[in-house]
Order: sequence, then C-alpha cells, then structure tokens
Amino acid sequence: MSNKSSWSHKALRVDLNKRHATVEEIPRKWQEQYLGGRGLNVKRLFDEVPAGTDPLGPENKMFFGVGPLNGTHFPGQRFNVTAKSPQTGILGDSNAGGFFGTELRFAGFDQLILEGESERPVWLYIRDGHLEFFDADDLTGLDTWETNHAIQKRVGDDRVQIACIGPAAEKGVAYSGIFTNLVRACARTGMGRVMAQKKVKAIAVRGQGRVDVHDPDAFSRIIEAVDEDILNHPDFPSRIVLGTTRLVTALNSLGMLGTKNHRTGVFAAADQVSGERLAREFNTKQKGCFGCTVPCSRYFIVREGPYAGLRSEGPEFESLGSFTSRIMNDDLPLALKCIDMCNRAGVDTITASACISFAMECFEHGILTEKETDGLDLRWGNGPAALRMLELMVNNEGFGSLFADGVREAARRIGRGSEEFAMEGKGLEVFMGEPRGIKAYGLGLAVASRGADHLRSEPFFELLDDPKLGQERFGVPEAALRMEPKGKGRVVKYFEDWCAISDALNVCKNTIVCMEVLPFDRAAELVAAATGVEMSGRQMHAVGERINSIERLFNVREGVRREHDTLPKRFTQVPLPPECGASAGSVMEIEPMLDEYYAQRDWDVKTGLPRRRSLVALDLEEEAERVLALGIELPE
Amino acid sequence: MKERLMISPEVCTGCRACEITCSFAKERAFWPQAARIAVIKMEAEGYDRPLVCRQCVKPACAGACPTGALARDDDSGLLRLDEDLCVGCAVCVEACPFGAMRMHPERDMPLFCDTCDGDPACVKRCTTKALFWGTTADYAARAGQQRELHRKRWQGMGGEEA
Repeated sequence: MSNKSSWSHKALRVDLNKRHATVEEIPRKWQEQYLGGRGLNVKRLFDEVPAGTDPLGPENKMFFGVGPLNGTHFPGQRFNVTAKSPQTGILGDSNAGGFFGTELRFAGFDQLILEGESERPVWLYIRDGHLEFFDADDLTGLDTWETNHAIQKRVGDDRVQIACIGPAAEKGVAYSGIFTNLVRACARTGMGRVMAQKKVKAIAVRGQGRVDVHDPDAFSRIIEAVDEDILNHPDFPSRIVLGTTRLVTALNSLGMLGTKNHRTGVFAAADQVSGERLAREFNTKQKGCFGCTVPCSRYFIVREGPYAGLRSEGPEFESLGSFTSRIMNDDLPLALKCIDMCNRAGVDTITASACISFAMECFEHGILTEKETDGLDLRWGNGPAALRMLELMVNNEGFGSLFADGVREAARRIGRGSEEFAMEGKGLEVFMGEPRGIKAYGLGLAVASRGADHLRSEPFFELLDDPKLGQERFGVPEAALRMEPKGKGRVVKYFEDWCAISDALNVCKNTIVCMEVLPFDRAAELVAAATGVEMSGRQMHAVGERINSIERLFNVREGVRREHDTLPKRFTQVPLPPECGASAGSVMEIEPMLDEYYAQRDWDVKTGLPRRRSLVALDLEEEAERVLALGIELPE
Repeated sequence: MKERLMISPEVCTGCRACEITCSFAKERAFWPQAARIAVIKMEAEGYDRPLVCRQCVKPACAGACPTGALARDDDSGLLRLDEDLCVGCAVCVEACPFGAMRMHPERDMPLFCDTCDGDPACVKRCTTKALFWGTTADYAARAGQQRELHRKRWQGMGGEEA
C-alpha cells in the first residue's frame, strides 16, 4: 500500500496560437467521476466547447486522453481523441490501440489538450513532461506512413510514438482520422479533420518515466486472473489467429453480413474474402497492441497479382467487410489495397466504403450516371472502379469531392431520392453487421452518442441465444435472443455503460466486454489497486452512466432529440430478403425499443431528453443547470 | 548444454508485454525504460525482435569492463554485476555486440537479464511463445511445436491443412 497512483493527475494544455504549453493539475474529483480517456475528455468537451461552436473554428478543442490502466501491464491499451465533430456536428470521439496512449502516460500525462489554431503547419514533440513545437511545412502532403518515417528519423529514436494525419485531412475530407503505428486509427467522426484545421500534422511522444500503482500486489493478482480468463476463453484461439476478421464467415452464415449497401445480409463470395482466407494465404504473423495477450492483429503480404508487394498490418473486420461485401467486391487483394489507401491517406474505412456502396446503388437506379462519376462504371462489385472512386475521394477531387463530408451530405447534394440509400445515423455511417438480424446492435446504433456506431454498446449478449440467461441477467428472456425487440433497451443501456468504462480506462472492448474479463466489480477492484480510490461495482457502473449522460447532454445542447435516434428506413421498414436464413423477413422495431431504452435511463420517452432527476442522481446537477440556462427544458 | 532465454522473432507480436512484465518483476514499477529486455520494431516491415542478454560464454561486456564488476558467475554460468565495483561508465553497453545491454534510467549501472534465476517473468506473459526458456537444441523443436500449435488451432476452427 502506498499513496501512489497510476494517474499522473497532469494534463498538458497547448495553445496553438501562441505556441505555448502549460501543465495543469487535473481535479481528483473529475478523475474519480470519469476515470480518464473518453470519460474525462467528454467532461472537458462539455465544459469548454459551448453549444453551436463551429467544429472547424479555432474555438473547437481537441482532447487526447488515457486512463488509469495505461502504462501498467493490463493487456491491450488505447487512447481516446475527443472534439466536436466536423462530420456529424455533434460529439466527436474516437479511439485507437497501438502504443501512442501508453507512451503519453510514460511521458507524464493523463490528458493532452489542443486549443486555438496554429498559424503555420506544426508538429509537436512531447518528451518526458516537455513540449516542443516544430514547423511542419516539409511534412505537409506526406501520407501517414511517410510522416511517421520522417519524424522517427528526425527524432532519431525508434521508440518515439507518433499520432498523425494524412493528406486527406489536409485536403478537407471530413471523415479523416488520426493514425498511429501506421495503421491504428482513431478513424471515426473526423478527428483528423479537426487536427488538420488546427494545422497540427503530428504529435510525437516519448516517455521514459515510470508508472506506479497504489497496491502492486493486489494489482498484479487481478491481472493474473485477467490473463487466465483470456487464455481460457473459448474465443481465444480464433481471436489470435483471425482477430475480428472471423466475423465475415460468422455473420454471413447467420444472414447478417452487411452486403450490397445493406440490401441483404448474405454475400455469396464471402469465402473468397473471409478472415480464414486472409489467414491462410496472406498473413505472416500476429501483431498486438501494448502489452496485449490476445494479439488479434496480423501482418500480411500480398505476393502475386496486380497488388503484389503490398504489405501491412490488419485489417480488422469492419475494414474487410467494408471493401468486400458492402460493395460486392470478391477480390480480396483489391480490398486490401483499398484499406491500405485509406490508412495512408488517413480516412475512415467505414465511411469511405459506405459512400462507395451508396454511389453504386445510385448508379444502379440511374440517379448517378457515368457523366457524374467522371466516367466510372460503378456497377456492383466493380473493384477497380471502387478503388478509383476511393482515390478521388481521399484526394477530394472530381466526383470524389461530392463525398468529402460523408454520405449524409452527399445524399443531400445529390437529392433525387438518393437519401434512402445513405446508411447512416446522425451523420455517421453504420458498421458491417446487419441491424435487422441483431436488434440490440440496431438499437445501439440508433442511440449511440457519436452517431450510428456499434462500438458505443457492442451488445454481444443478444447473440447468446439463451432465454434463461436473458431472464437471469436482464429479467427478460428475449434479451438474449437477437431477433426479439423486447429487452433490448435494457441490454443496450447496460452495455453502453460497460463500453464507457472500457473507453474511460482506455483498454480494449474485445477483452473487457466481448470476452467479459472486466465486469464492473472487478473493474472497481482494479482501479482501487491502481489508484487507491475505493469504489463499489455499483459506483463503477454509475461512472459509465455518468459518461453516457454527459455525452447526451452535449448532444442535446446541439439539438439532438428522440427523432434523431433512428436508423435508415431500410432497416426499420424493409424486411431482410429470404436468402438471409434465420434473419429473413425481419425489420428493426425501433420505436418500442427506444421507449424501453429511455425508460431504462430515466430519460423522457417523448423527447429523449434526460430527466433532471436522473442527472442529479449521477452528480450532474451543475451540468443540468447549464443546459437549462440555455432554455432547454429538461423534464422533471 | 545450458538453458537460456531463447527468442523466435518470427512469432513476436511486438506487444512489449515482456518489457512491462520485466520492469515490474525487477523494479516493482511499470517502467519499460528500466526493463532488462527491449523489443525493437520495424513497423512497416512487420519485424519485431526482443533484444536480451544471450549469456555469452566469453561476454564482450565483461571483457570491456575496466573494474571487473561484470563477470560470469562460475556456479550459475550467468553474467553478474558487482554493484560496489561498478563505476557506471557504460562501456559494457557499447561493447555488447547484440545491443542487449542498456543503462538504468536513474541509477548509473547497466541493466541486463539475470534470467529471474532460470524462471523468467517475461516468458510467462508471452502469448505466442516468441520467448521461451530452453537450450539451443530445443530451438528447432520449439519452433516446430509452435507451428504445430497454430496448425491445430487453425484446424479446430475448421481451417484446412496448411
């Protein structure tokens, strides 16, 4: 026992206008209430970025956060980036694995804040508690890999960790991300675009410091148990060989692999683009994030064909499905090429591919013709045309520039009924699962605080197909049955809270949530051993509720209400076609599911606004008052 | 033939679990900079390799040491440091042909693997067994076992014979 804590309690605040940085003490109370990472980031965002802020104006701020497990030997560590999103206009937040976040902690910080806007392109070098600014004129236009190499060479230390943007962000592509370790991306909600606007090309970090925990014996005992649980988990073997790419085959066999812009849930050529084929023919070894005992990433090499010589790390399931089933492409090396292009240019694969599948559907219906597509023959499955369209998109030129702000804006620009082909919610494109076959996931997309994203809830519980377990854990047998709408409000609320803890601790949902290695009770024990802050499992759960609620308040301030918590009509009105087997004929019964969800959160069912009492119960009274002061009526 | 810490870089995931585990075992702190093992990575090439003391029979580091502080212990066959004799000159770091030695970030003394008395902490947390404890004769056999393990896992998932 000691008075030590794995939190450094320090934030580095960078004024880009003045090229000046200050070290701030982070209030202990905030760290207890929000832990770190996504939690502390959204607390700051709510406090410091008022309603109506222009996401691309100097008043928008960026928060890079890590949590109390970063720097320890907890397996698999990440970091979060949070700002107001230029793609969606609401909460922007994204996280990535790799090594950057942990290095930030070794450099002495729990959080990095960027404010203002640099006059000239810069890159920042944080080294053991200090920050230096460097002109980045000569880095402008370099892709993420080139930027990484150039900075590593300049610093002369191969342990330096770099988070950078690619040329797409500099060219104004809204769905640009922030990339570390070449391929690990804070991809969603356009955080790279915000960084480009601030003219920050890259942040390099090197930390030689130590992280101490409050109770080393207790801490390492819990990690031993976590290690055991991971190793003995039935998913372990497939996760370390295939990572999430195993889902191509798994979801396809259940009729819920997002295919042909979500017109169906079955892709006939799934075997040719599956994770299994990737492992068999292309992978050379497994790769892992910091300290991870489930190395789910893979290094691959394409040895023949038009893309021979392509070698990189990844991809995970979403990227793989994005450039295969979604656009009906059966050419696996071409999909790998598309993903590589996204990584180097620095854009989100999910958004990019959703724009292409949208365009293909418009093309099929004659809404777009070769006249508008710069001559591209965008029929389904035309891989080379998709690759060319992607190139135009990441360069923000010609036909590609129509899509620079994502699919919602593209549909607005094109009009003529194309809106119904835009597979997005609140401006963010949906993932590669089929919501009609996994209804908790569908509800999760509809209510997710960063737009229609699956990683806000990841409610795999509904796939367990065990009514007894549904009754036991959620009081509703249907909670564990994926096709049933009932009980899903409860499941989603619970899993949203759990995912918030995972993101606030900045560790990986694959282990924390999907492999269930860190339930609330154990998370509380672990945080106590790391920081000395004692809390119960119930209090840990409340941290998750608090994070979700303050995110809702941020979005409420920007105008989000019940009517925005929805999904494209394709999911709510059009039944899945017969080939989808067990999932066939199904639609998302969104309204009753939303009712249940709001009731679970004690939010107003009619408006989707949080009730004041629910906020007071989570110590968010002050935040509620600030929303009320804007004239927004929070129901009693 | 003596046992030693062996490395199969072809299965190293580059996760650095060995570093963080080592630092905790040796320093009671999470501190990669003070670990006795370090992973070098070339990300674009997918190359990862842990660097660690190879327990040379005629250690270049000991040969370079001006005070005799570094020497091979005849009983255990392991490299040992006599901290009282060490002057912190770091010539051993320069002398090691494998780059497996480094200086402690706070104290003027070299860091190198002492094998945790034949039971290395890092080995226990190396998922893919890129690190293992054995003799050089075991090396080929271990690498073969590792491939076999992956083949079985693969088939268990319905994968075909590679």
